[in-house]
Amino acid sequence: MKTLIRLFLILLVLAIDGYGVWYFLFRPNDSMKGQKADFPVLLANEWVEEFKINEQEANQRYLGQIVEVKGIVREVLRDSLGGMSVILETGDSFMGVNCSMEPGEDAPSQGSDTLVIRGEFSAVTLDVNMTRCVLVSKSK
Amino acid sequence: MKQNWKLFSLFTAFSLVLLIYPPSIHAQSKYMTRNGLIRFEAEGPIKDDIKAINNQGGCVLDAATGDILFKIPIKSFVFRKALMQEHFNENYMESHKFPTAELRGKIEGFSQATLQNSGVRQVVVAGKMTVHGVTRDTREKGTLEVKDGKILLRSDFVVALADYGINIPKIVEDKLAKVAQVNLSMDLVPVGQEPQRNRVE
Repeated sequence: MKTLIRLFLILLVLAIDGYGVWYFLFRPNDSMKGQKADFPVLLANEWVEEFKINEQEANQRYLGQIVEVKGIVREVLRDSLGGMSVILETGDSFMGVNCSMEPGEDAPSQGSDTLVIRGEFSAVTLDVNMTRCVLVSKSK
Repeated sequence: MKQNWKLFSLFTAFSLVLLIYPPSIHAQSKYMTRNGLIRFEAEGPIKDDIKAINNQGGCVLDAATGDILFKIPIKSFVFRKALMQEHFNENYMESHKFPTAELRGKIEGFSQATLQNSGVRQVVVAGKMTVHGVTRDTREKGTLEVKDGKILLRSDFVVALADYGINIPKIVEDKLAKVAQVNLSMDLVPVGQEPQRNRVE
């Protein structure tokens, strides 16, 4: 009987370890929905200004960090595979905050709503880019 | 009747003007996208689904000169597996040090005619490509199509990882290809077409 219990416990431990290893290797990206931002909510126009003043310093501060940004929708874009990007207004005629949304996020309406979007800051290109974004809140 | 004749004359004159001076796309000098698609695949002999997609490719084309810039945020490549994405960013691309890749160049043999004719045409972009902090001369083939006021750019090319100082550890040699396949798909619209809104105070 004792041997059986031992065998059972060994198998149980192996199964749990196996699942742990499998999960570690094959787990999908965590959704931003359950994540906590690394900074208080940033205003889109002020955030972009930080990069204009000193891009290197701002990169060091925000690269790979989870941020929440508040702004008005300038534009909602769809790529040819259906992926959605929300561009937040910044007051700059060219540079916006470009939020690549996670699949399944609802498209916000352009112009009227003020959004708070959470995502990971990825880099500055033509815009300040955030990836794997989710909508946190919406207000008029 | 006289009114109809006047309208007909106006219409004919307008049509003639359009015929002689077609509304060419290069009336607008700069075209851009901020959500260009970049697909990346580096599958080795042992298949492990090493592919990623990025929809934050930026591109600006000067339609007067053919000068072109592509700029891509590396951390915006999304893999199916989180661990693979971590390795891509931390071990290979070192995106904390080199957050973007770019190609800055010119469309070879570019002229106003390149944008006037409809249909898909072959183009070559020659310039400098910077990946992982290493800049090299490059010449990549692709296609350009003018459609519905947009310029559609497509390209498939390869990047030898060693050329850009990306080292593959022995342990994953069978899983990771030495040469990555890259697919670019960029739909450029005239600069300034995007609507402007007030900022949040």
